[in-house]
Amino acid sequence: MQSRFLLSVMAAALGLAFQAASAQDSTSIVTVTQQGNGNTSHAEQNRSSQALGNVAATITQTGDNNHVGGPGSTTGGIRQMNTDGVDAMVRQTGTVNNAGITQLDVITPSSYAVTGEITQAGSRNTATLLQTRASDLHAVMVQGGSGNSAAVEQQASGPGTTRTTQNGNDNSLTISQRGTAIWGMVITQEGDGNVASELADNSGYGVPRLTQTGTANYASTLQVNTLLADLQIVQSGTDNRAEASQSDGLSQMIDIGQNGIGNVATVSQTRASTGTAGNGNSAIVAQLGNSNTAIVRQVGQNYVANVNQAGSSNYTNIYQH
Amino acid sequence: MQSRFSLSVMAAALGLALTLASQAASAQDSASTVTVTQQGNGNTSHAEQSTGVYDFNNVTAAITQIGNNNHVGGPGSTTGGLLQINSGGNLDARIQQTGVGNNAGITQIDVIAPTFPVTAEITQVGSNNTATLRQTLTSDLSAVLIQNGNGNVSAVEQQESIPGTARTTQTGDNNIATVSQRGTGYASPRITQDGEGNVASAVVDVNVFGGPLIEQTGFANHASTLQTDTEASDIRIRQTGSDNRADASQSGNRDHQIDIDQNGIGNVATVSQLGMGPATFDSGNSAIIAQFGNSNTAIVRQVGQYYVANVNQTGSNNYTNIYQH
Repeated sequence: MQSRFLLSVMAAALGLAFQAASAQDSTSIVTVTQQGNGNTSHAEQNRSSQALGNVAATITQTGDNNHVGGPGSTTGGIRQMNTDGVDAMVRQTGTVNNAGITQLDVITPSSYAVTGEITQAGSRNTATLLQTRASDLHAVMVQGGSGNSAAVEQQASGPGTTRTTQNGNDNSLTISQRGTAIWGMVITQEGDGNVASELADNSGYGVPRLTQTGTANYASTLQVNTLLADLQIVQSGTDNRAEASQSDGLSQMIDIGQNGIGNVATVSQTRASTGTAGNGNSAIVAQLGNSNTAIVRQVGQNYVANVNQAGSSNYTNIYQH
Repeated sequence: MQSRFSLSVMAAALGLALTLASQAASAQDSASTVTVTQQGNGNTSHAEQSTGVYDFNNVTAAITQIGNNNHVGGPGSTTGGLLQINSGGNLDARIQQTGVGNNAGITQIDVIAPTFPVTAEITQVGSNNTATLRQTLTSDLSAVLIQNGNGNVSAVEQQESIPGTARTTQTGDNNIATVSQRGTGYASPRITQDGEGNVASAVVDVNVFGGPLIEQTGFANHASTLQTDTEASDIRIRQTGSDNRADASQSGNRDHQIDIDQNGIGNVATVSQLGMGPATFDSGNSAIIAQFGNSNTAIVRQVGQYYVANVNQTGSNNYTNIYQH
């Protein structure tokens, strides 16, 4: 009898304690640390919609041939769905690693942020970050080494930022934003033979910034049907190529600066609907060095083309129709 | 007349003396002791000790058997061997068996002794032995089960007990240890196995505070724990060796903790936690897995709120899968 009494008292005390704690936010935290080679991690956090809480996942891998998700990012590594205020972070050190983060249907009020961050140090690594139907989001991708590739995709999202940095040679980067309200990204590549590709489609206001330093780098941007696109590409080095294309939408602006030898800048702007000459639709190309080429093609009304080249054996071709 | 008077006085004096002696004796503890020793094969012993509640008896029973195919209780523990009921004092039940194919059973029921220790201990040396220990409505209890050999089976069952300890130790291969607790508090059963192909299982239902600790050393061992409707309880599993498996499951309101530590190759740790409430005792709802070695697997499934999963793997070709919903 006494033991029964004790259990009853304890149960009552537990009940009171639970009621007091019910007003707190919920927490869902994942932490994985793997040291060695050939390791694999998956983590899925799925909460009911509008469930306030602190949802965070951190995976750290040290070694070679490790995976957060399927090899080559064929399947998701960290997957977060239907929640408020999430944070996903992957850190990998080594070679031939891959990491994937997917954040879906994350609805956040202004006080909660969505952050996806992948940091890889080493060579021949791959990283994929997908954010869909999120708001107030932040995507960060950092790769240090050679032969790395990274992809960031944002769909149907509110305001957010994307910051991608690659340091090394022969790296590739792809960023696409579709249906985002306030879009834009900061891309930085340092090294030789790097490739950066950016796509914006059916989005609102965007101010993308792309910077490449080195030799034989390639920057390619495509913006389709955006409310306002203010693109800036800066390349320092030789034999670099910058291609910028904008079509449809309201206001189109492209600013390309190249400093070096044998660089090529190509601009294509078509069908901007309401841009005003001198204030809206413009292509500005500045090249400092020799044997550079600037090509501008503008189809529509109220377009301005401004090319400034300083050096020898440079070439310019502008077409407005 | 004088002789009749003398007899009356003597009778009165005797009655008074008996009454005083009885009153004096009532303040002392009484004792109930059973001792059985059997040497040979195919022997059987039963012992039952029943006293009133709060009789404050010092009740002890010790049965020793040396040989093969001996029984304390029915074969395979089908019936009780040592049975102790309704005692409110010190309780001590011990069985020692040496040989092959033996079985032993101890049952202690409705033993309410908040200040007196209740102890049950079974020790078996040999192979293919079985032991069963059952305690119901007890408190301040200590259950100890020791088996040394191969192919042994042990079972400990505790119901509505608080607080207490249950320790099972098996040394050898292909042994099976089971601990079952229901409605207990502050009871942390401990199972220790040293050998290969051993199985340890802890099942806990409607528990508060305290959880099982399973320690296994060797190869191809399996530790399984299931806790239902528990609160503020933790599970700890420690495995050293290769190809081991640890399965831990908790469901209930809150304050769930699972801590699994594996050291070796090809080990698998699986955690399942289900609960909707927040942490209330600063212990939190958490799953912690640490694996050291290669080709290990950690799987965590958490459904509810306020959960934390922490996996730490050192080695190569390891795999982690975490699901929080």
